[in-house]
Amino acid sequence: MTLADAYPWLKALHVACALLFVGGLVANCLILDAAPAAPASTAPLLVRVKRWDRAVTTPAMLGVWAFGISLAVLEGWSTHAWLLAKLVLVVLLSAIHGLQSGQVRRLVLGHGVEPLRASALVVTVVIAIAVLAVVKP
Amino acid sequence: MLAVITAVRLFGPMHGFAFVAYVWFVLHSLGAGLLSRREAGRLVVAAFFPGAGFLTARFLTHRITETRERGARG
Repeated sequence: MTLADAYPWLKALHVACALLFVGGLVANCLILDAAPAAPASTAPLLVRVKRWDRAVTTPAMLGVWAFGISLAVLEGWSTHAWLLAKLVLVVLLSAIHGLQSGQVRRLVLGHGVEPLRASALVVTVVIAIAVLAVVKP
Repeated sequence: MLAVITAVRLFGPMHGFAFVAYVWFVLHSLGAGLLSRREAGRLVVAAFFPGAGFLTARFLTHRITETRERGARG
């Protein structure tokens, strides 16, 4: 397999990881919106979301980065404006995930938290990332 | 010269990824209540100064020891 052959596979894995990462991010947003208002009823779901975050969302985030960086190096995109803009947005999503996964962990331990409400921001950023990745303006 | 260009191409993205991972851990610790906003801010700013990592490591070691002692006291 040449490096050129690797491109569609790396892209496929990058997209798969991105879908899982965004799914997990949305789950964190939803549970952080719901848990403070109804702590008793959301407690079991909170534990499941935390486990999912550790088993799927966080590894998927690492996959997004690893496969994304590989694609950028392989295709020589590191100076392209669309990729730099996309990178800023992906760093923002990763930062939101870091903060929210910590807050979910804190809620599972039974401590109070002022949740980061980022649903609208996550949706907007994901749309922007998709446009940048596909259109590559 | 080619070796330098190759090294930058290889290690540049790794270095960037390491920075993002560091900021992720700081934010995760902030969200979990293990750091105050001030401490988290200090840790992120320290990443921009060469050598500040050694002071950061000392600070984090001290915090871990403090937390363990507090836990042992009950």
